[in-house]
Amino acid sequence: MIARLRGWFEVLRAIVRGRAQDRELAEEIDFHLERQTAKHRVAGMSEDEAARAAKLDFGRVGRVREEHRDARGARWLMDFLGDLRIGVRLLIRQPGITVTALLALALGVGGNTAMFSVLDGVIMKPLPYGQPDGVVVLWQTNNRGVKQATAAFDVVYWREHSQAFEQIAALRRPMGASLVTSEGPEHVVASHVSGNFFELLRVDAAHGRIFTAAEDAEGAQPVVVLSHRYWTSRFGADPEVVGTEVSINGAPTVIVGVMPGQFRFEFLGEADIWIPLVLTQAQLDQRNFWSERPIGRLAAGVSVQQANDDLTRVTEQLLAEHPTNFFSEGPNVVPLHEEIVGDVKPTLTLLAAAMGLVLLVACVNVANLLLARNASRNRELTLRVAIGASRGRIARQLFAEAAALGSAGALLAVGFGFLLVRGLRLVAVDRLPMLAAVTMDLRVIAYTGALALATVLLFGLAPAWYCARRQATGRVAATTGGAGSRGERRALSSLVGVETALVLVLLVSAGLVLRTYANLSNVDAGFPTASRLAVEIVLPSSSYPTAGDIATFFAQTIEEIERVPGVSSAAATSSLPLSGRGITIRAPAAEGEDPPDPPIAMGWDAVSPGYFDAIGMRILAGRGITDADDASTEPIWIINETLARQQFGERDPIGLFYANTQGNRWRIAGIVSDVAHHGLDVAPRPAMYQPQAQAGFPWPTVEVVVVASTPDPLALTPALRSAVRRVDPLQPIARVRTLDTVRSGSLAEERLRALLFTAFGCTALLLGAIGIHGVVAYGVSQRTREIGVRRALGARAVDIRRLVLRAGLGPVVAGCAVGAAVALFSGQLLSGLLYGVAPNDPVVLAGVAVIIVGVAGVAVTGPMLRALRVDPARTLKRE
Amino acid sequence: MKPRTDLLQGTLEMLVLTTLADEPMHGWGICERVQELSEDVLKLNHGSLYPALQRLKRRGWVRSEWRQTENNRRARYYALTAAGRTHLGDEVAQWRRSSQAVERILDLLPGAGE
Repeated sequence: MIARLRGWFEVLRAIVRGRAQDRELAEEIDFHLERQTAKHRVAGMSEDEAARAAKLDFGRVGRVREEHRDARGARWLMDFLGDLRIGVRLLIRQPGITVTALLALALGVGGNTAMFSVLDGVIMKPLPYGQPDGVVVLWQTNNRGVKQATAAFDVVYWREHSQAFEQIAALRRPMGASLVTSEGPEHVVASHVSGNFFELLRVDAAHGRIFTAAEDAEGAQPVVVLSHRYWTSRFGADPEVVGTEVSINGAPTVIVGVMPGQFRFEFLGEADIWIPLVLTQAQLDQRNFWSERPIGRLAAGVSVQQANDDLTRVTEQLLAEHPTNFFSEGPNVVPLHEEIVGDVKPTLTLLAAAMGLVLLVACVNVANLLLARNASRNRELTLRVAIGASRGRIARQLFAEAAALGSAGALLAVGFGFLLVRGLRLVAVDRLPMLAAVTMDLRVIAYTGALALATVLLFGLAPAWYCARRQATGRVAATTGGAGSRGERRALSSLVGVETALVLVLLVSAGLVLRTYANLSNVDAGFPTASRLAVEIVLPSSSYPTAGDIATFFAQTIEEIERVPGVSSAAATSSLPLSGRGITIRAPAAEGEDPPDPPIAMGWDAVSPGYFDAIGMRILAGRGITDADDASTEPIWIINETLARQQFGERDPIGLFYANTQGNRWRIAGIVSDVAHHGLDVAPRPAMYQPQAQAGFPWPTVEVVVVASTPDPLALTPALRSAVRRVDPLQPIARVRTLDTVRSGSLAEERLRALLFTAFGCTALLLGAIGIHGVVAYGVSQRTREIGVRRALGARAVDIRRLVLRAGLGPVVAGCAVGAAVALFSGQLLSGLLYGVAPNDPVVLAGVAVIIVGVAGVAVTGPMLRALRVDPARTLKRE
Repeated sequence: MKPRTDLLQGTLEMLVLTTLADEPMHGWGICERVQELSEDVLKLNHGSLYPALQRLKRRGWVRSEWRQTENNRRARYYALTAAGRTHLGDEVAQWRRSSQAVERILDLLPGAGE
């Protein structure tokens, strides 16, 4: 055992102290020879004879050293390390090439590493639930094929009649809630979920317990489960908090549990707390109130398709038994994972593809640089082959050099990738909540290392091997001039061409995405955003159960807010333009008419008098909403121009009535202009507006639009907060943001895409420029003699300039042509993400080509000037 | 000649171990002693001793250290380790057994005694 340890120690010593051991051996041999010489001298030889005899006795010192090295063990490793050392020294001796190649590797491989960890973390990692594949979302579909929420009544009916699901849980989009402790009211984001929600996901609490299925019953003791984040930030991660009581939306509520840190549910947005969703009889009666977004757990052995078929059958039966003006093309069962990543998949895939292109550019760059470098080493390699180095030995040497470059590159790439992931998380975590969980783990780092090595080996070793092989065919004499040969120049030129084509494709994509973003930024959303604030307030239904209560609260609040200095006016709405939120209902038939065919899904909003003025919508016909429109006066609707056009065409709807089967009638009192609701790139939806005081549903989330007369509207926030408290001391404000923010926030994804594409494109352009510069500079240095001779023979500066430009820009122009052809195709792949710009937009294409040729021109300038400075006299002298 | 190298190498290593059994020695000393022991039957290049010593070190049978010689010269001294001593014992017993066998076979050969 000890002997074996000693042996390993020897091998280790051999690796770590190889050169020291050589030195020691040399000393030992000196000592030996000295003693042996002395011995021979004593036997009567002369000094010289004795020394010679001692050497003869000893044998060849070189061979002994080799055998000694073999005997130390790990010989191949030793050789490799030696080669590596030589490789590193070579890399250091050519800092220009090395730094460029490392930069290319760091950018290309690092970027791909970051992309890989994002794809891995966001798309490939399973959701953190028990058997997550069985969790699905149960949607309804509207007439545009868009997935939408469903009514509470339907969820209960589905639960009772469908056989495809083990469990179905109703949930709603997380909403603001007011949580009151001894320290005062606080706004929290609350997710209302059925009692079986956690059980369905097969997750358990970290402290305390999850809900029981009975806890969503009407009249049950109110309970709450905290998220780990909220528990940590608000309660200092105190386990004792479980079992204590807080007030949520005015109801004394017991904290029963805390979820573990890794539990996340980003489907509808993250929440601070979970509260059982109590489906009251009143809510079940509201068949038009589509607020539930149920999830289900598939029964064992049931596929998504089977579940969909089953739910379709149940829904048809439901509609037959309980007819409604509920609006759906049928249910749509979607796996939860697909639901979460589906939205971001195209963007991420596209970014990954773009990043792949950058990697290709980086690879070509590395190949270019190594090819140029190896070409200049022809003489060295030739010599080594000539004096008997085997091809394998040379390949090993080149491998070690590539490995030196690759490992340094991988190291940089990991660092760069790490920074990139952090940066991406900063920019994009709002759009991609799962990014918060993305980290660079060992697997990712291994991936980076493999990628960097593969890059270098594939693109570094191949040309090197090519060089070595050519040497072996005996062209020793021909290569005295270095790498001036035509074949090599052609290889380098074609690589420049390929690089240019790749850069062009990337830049064209970036240009298209940028133009899309610019176009969307200039879209008229139908309302001005300057110096306007949106103040979100969520009223607890326990304190404000009816639509009348809500209207009264806001009438008072708006009065208070308008008294704040710096506020010129304020008004309330149940959903903000561009928010994509709110309620969708089926447009009813006008009195005495048939219902619209095909049916119209329209937005519903309850707004306070003065809302149209505050948001900046124009009254196109009839009138707006006034203070006189309250519960005691005639019910009215204001419709928008899209609804008027779709339902009434050329007819004037003012004065017509809507009616429902319960005998309610609403007069159409006015038409207002459209606003964008679902996004700047989506046509305005048909919509109707009801006076808040006449609202059909008690919709608890309200946005107060505040028109400010001060330059910095956000500075009004504290004053607005106290204005709300003057009406209800326990009522917090959920959030305050400017309408500018709302508008730019709706472009977050487009902006992110434009930002990343531009970054990728510029990186590729930079790499390309470096590559072109390297190749041209190399070409000039190799052709110094030729240029000198030409000058001596009477070539003018302009001729030399043309020579260099043709060599440098020729492949660039050719690459642009090839790239343009590819871009026409790749643009088609992008077309789904474009707005207001054709995939083959000539402006983008021409602009990008001009930029590339311009940058290439700059990259070529330095070498060109150097070529012009070549002194023919000196060249001739050297000849 | 080639097939005999293994035998020679094995023999050389045995001789080195035997030499070191008495006291630690430096390379040249071992060399002298080995030749003395083998009565110059084993004609070897002195140089081949050093890789052999390194192999023995790697197997953990021998350790080395730099020391002053009696005339104040720095030299590397080699010494037998405990494992080396055990190995030598085993090896010697093995050699005894096989050389006895070889002798018996030689006795049986016709004319071997002449």
